[in-house]
Amino acid sequence: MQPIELISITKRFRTAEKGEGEITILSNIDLGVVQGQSTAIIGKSGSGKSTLLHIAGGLDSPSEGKVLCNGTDFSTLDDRHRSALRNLHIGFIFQSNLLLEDFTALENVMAPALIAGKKEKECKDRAVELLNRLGLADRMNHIPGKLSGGEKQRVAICRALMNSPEVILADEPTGALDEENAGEVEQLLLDLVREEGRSLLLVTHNQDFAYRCDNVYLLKNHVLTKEK
Amino acid sequence: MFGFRTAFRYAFSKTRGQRVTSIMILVGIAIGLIALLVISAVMNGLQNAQMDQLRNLESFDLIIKSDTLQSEHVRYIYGVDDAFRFLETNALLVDETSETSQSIRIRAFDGDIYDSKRMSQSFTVISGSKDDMSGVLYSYSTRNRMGIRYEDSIKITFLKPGKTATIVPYTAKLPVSGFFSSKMSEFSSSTAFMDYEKLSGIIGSEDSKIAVYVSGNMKTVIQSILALDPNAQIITWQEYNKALYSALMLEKTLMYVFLAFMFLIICVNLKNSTRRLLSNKQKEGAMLRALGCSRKKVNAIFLGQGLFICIIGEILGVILGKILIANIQNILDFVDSVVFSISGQKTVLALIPFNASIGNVEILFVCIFIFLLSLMFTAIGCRKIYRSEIMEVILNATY
Repeated sequence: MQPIELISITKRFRTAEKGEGEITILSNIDLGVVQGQSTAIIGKSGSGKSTLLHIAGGLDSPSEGKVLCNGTDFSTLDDRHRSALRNLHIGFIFQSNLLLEDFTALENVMAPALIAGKKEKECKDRAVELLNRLGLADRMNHIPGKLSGGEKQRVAICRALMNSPEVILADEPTGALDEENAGEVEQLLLDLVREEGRSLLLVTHNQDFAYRCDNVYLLKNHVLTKEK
Repeated sequence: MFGFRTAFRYAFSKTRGQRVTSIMILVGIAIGLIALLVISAVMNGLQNAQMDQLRNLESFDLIIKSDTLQSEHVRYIYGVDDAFRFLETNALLVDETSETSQSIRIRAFDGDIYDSKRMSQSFTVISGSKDDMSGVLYSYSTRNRMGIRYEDSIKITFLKPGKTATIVPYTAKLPVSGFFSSKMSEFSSSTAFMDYEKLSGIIGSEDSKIAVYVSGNMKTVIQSILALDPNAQIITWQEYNKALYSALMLEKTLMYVFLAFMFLIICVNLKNSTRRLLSNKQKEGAMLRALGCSRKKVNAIFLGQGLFICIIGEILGVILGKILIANIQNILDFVDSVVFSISGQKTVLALIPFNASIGNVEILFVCIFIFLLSLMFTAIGCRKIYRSEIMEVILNATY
């Protein structure tokens, strides 16, 4: 069973201008994220890569088609079960890291586990372990406003890994980073797939990073084609 | 626990001026609550003073007409403060010097009722003595209107039961034994007092009634009286003062309408500020949902945030409101002295001493109402924001 499977996904948006109706962003897309493999989606800006990733993670709904997470169709679940599925099986890394600004790095990392109802002590131990592993031991008690771009992105990665999800969805994880930090984050994500057997679905502009993944897809003219 | 902690953190978050907004809302709730409580207490105080005087002087708590009951029987009923027999009749005062006349109600009490706690709160003998009831005790306002003096003899025409006719006029010249004043000007200008034996000697004692001051439960006392004499006719103070009581109740209703407008202002304030609090944090709410919080959990966090602010505002409002209510007379005196020092004229504020009072039930009612409003507006705001897709909220958030 694939951790995430997209079947005949079409996404249309209603345009703001009157009379123009709807525009199609994604058309009849099928994609399977294979366990223990990394998959990259490349394409021009505005081609719908991020939208596809959001649909894969249940953050957005498709106009047509269905998304299966561990064989369960997202659209058949109520909000509580869909949230629980997202919480336990999917880890998100956003382009702009999207950390909770009132919480320290440690609390941000602990958040998904606390939401899942795990014990605080257990959550803290795991969060400290992750932050240490990603070299943030001395930044644990800093709020996001006091962290650099690279540090924030590493905190976001720790947060994505907190509940040991089967699949990590990353939207331009290195987009806002300098070359050195970007290289570190790329290596970290690929190591996670290789060492821990997780799946990675990645959206990026960075061709080098994309071609280091096991599978590469190009999104062009609303259609997804396999490149590698 | 995570939700509780997050709600508290969001309520007083330092980011995006959230803390300042929260404090402004909190102060707004507190001020609104203070205004509601003080206005309510002042109006209650004025009305209670009016009703207390009605019950102390005009109608007592109960008036009993019974052929068999004596005041002693009633006095020993549980919940009765005091009971005494009294007579009441209308008469015509004629001042021969000024050739003026005035109708007056003459009351006569059997016993030392003038010394009773309830009566003495509203009634004071200014000249003469209440123990000397050889003549008639008039009010100061009657004295001023009729031009009568202490120990003058005034001609009074009573209507007494006749031997052949039902009632016949009976005129007597009775001395003025003193003057009284009461807190009810209408009562003072229409009433005079005389000795019970003397009045019953003129008009007979068939119409005598028993006046009762009640400290306990009115219903229980009435039941106990009816148990002693099932044929007793009992009039409550509300029935006796039906017209005035209805007017006071109308005034109270209008006061609540006025307070409802204040509630409305608080509503608008709450609605706007809740919306601002939510829009400050809508992106974070969507992020929490992306991390796996259900819509219900996120709503609960924002409800918690609103309620934290509301509860602190209410606690502050109740404490300050109670302090203000307890010191309202001092505050009015202070305002009066400030106005006097500026304008050289006294205001009406210091002339009307009263006890502002508000019951805990009323405070609780107001607090619960504001609490529910806060809950409702936050819930509506949450519904509006989180009806959209998560990414839609994140990408379109104002912040």
